[in-house]
Amino acid sequence: MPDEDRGFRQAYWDEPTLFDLDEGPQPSDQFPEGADHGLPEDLTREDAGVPTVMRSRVTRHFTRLAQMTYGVDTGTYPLGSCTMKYNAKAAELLAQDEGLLHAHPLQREEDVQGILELLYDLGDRLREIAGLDAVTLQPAAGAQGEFVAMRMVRAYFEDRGELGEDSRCEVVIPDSAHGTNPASAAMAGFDVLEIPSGDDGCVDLSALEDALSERTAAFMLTNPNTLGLFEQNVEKIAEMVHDVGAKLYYDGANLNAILGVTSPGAMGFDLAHFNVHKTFATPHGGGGPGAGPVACTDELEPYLPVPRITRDPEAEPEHRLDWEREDSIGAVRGFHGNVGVLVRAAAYILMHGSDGLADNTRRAVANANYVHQRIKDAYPAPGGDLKKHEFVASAADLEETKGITAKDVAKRLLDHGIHAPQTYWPMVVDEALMIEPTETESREELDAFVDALLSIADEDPETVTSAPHTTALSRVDDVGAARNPILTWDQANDE
Amino acid sequence: MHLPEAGQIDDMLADVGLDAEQLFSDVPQPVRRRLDIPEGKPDREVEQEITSTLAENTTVQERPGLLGGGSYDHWIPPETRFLSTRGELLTSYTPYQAEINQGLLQALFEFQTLSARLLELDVANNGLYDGASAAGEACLMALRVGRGTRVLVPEHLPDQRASIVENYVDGAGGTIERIPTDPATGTVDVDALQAMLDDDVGCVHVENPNALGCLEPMDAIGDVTDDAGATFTANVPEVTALGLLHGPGHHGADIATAEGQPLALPPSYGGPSLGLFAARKKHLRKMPGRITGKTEDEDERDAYCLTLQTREQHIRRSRATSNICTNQSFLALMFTVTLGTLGETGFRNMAETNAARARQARQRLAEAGAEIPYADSHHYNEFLFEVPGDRDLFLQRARERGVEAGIPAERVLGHGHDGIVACVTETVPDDAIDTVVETVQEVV
Ligand SMILES: Cc1ncc(COP(=O)(O)O)c(C=O)c1O
Repeated sequence: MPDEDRGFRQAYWDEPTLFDLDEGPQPSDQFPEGADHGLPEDLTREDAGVPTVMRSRVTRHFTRLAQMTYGVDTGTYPLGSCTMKYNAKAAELLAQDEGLLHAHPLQREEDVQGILELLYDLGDRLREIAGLDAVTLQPAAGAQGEFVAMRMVRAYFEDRGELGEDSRCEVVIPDSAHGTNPASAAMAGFDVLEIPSGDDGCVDLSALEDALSERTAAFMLTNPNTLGLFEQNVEKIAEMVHDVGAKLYYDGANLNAILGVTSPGAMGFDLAHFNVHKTFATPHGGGGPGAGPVACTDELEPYLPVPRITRDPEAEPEHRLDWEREDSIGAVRGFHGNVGVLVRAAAYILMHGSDGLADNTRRAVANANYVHQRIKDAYPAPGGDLKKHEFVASAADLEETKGITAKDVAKRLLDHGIHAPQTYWPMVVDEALMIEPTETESREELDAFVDALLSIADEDPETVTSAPHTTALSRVDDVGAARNPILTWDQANDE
Repeated sequence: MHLPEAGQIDDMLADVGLDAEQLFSDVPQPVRRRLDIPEGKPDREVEQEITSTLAENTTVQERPGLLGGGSYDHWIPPETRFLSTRGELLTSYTPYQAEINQGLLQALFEFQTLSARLLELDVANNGLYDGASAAGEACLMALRVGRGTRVLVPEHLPDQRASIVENYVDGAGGTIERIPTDPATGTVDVDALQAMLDDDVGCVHVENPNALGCLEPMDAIGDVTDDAGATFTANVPEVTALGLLHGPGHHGADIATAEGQPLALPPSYGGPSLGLFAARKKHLRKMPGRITGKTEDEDERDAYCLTLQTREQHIRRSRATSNICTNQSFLALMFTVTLGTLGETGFRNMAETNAARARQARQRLAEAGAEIPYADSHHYNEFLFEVPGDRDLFLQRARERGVEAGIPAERVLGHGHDGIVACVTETVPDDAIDTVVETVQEVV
């Protein structure tokens, strides 16, 4: 069927669920039967509903499911905003180190100096990378980092008696921002004010001016922005935000574009989160876990979550956990964060160092610009010609002339054995295809990706709109799924 | 290095008419900054450096003992660890493209089914960051589905977890109040709870088993909460308990969560972790997090995809049910592999073994002369004990004999308590328990 056949065929198994394979309870050879637990019958259950399947079959089950899944280890994954770069395997193995896996979060500080030292050093490097003064490693992902930062901003203004219905109740956000920005600000208790982007795709200074007031608590921004454009007015923006007494927040999702070039601190931001699963190459795990450390200025440091890791080379033990911090916002998740992920990030930063990280950034930006130049006639990207690590191409022309939507292009790319870009976001671009190649794609891979995109633009529309053809399944009915939600095997087999 | 030579990049750009020197010409000079961190190192040096740093930890394998308190060391089947290296799963992201990510989606659908069954509720999501933040989301959701702003939590809910709930509900106007603990049972004082209930209570939130190791009077709490018209949410901090105990839904909880780490991964100094989240079907559209649904492809084959996304931040923005985007999917997958490998009986027997060994240890410690403050309550694999004399000295004596006798209760709770929280899982060696008993005998 496909014209431009790269020979890709994803495996398909008509694989039943574990629940279809359930043979009913069988004796287990791993634990003794009938241990004397002494609990009364009214508290204990008859059965937990766990399926019983031969171990060989379980392994085949998940191996087959893996074969019907596509990761960075499989091929190009230009999913914009997600920085799907190669995940360092050394870091992966280090996260399996027994000295980490079997460290317990409530052990005495004396017994966990190793991990505390590693985390402290990581925090130190993140401070330097952010160009800010202090760091917490607790947030489990970028969105939780945003939430922490907004809770901190609230606590800061509350301390100054400035939090109320008419003061510091608003957070301003560009309409091109990621959805987590407004969601985090709202969850933290703020009213959200979204401002329209200018024609150039960047912050419209007059719209910002109009939105800012003594009610503003913070302005949330990512730079380069979600269109992959560097906000060149960032100094002016910082000045405007600070002039009304508000804080400037940096969404670190796009940090891979600026390492060694500039930093959130240098640009005038007061707080920033990192997505270590993006910038520092920790694997995305099919949706997570990641980690979302937050950096801030000294002024905001008292509000960081507890516990804080401290270092005093004179003291014994050298590294401690400080829980007694009066102004802290408290906690947002248990213990100390997604530590296994943080260890991978620490390894990545050690492997690359200053020059390596800066070099990665340069290459990531070069790759994005190369792809942009090669496809821009077929898929124009709004904003200036110079992009950073990503750009947002539009399939609007194709849609108009041939009825091929961004979704169709995305599905058709899968037939080439290439993952689709992010689609329909940011919402400020019609038929958006958000493309972020990352630095770990070779020119050959980039060319294959470009050739696929160009061939799709020239293809007979029917082939494209009926894609994909070579993936495990043909197009999945997501509308039907939402209309009649079936979320469990029991619901599916109840009807 | 492992990337193409720098010169090749310049050539590549030149081929499309770009000047490599100009790539960052849009970054104003005044904000330019170079990085100042140590130079990069080859993999082998980083491996050595990190391995030797981590070797400074004294792990629970090197010094075994009775450590629980919200993070639990269990036997993780080799299948789980082995399959966790599958790159297709590990290096994929949120499955936006269903056709090429069926495997991951099906596994997440299976995870949702397990979550709903274990917690005894109708519907579940792909999981949240951890049990504690999932509990925060549950309380926030409770305020969303019902009336009121007061959120009642037990006095013995660990301070860190109470703080998490507070951070999650505060933005919605929620306030936290503590329900007194019944000093005789180490559980919620149900009469006191009843006296606190009024129309402004939106949510009653408890943990079961609780941080004192006791099983809460779940039915009674559920009844009074329901009578008062508030929403009952419950978190299970140690998910293996559900191999033996009823899920919160059975006791009337409307929303239930659990910490899934014990079945997915060893403690790893507290993370990554996994929040299970389940609710009654009527609250489906108010749930936080990613949700996988079953549907069909164009050829009418069974298919799975992310669904009900209009609840989520990328569509609903400031009015989303939650801000969560990246979650803990990989842990959800590992959780599913573990339970698939254990099977019904294996899981049940594992839970029974935990409860039975903990019970036996409790009895032996009592016989040796330790005080068991809530001896008449039911327990799963954790309990509190007290020793005469200096507690820290006792713990140090045990350490000198090569075991951890437990965790000082205030380190678990965050506030004062004289006891020691002890936990016995199947991985605690028999002789470690013997040693703790002997140490008690010594100090009595
Ligand atoms: C621009 C932007 N901001 C914030 C986030 C949220 O980060 P996370 O998914 O780690 O919660 C993302 C992630 O997808 C993003 O792309």
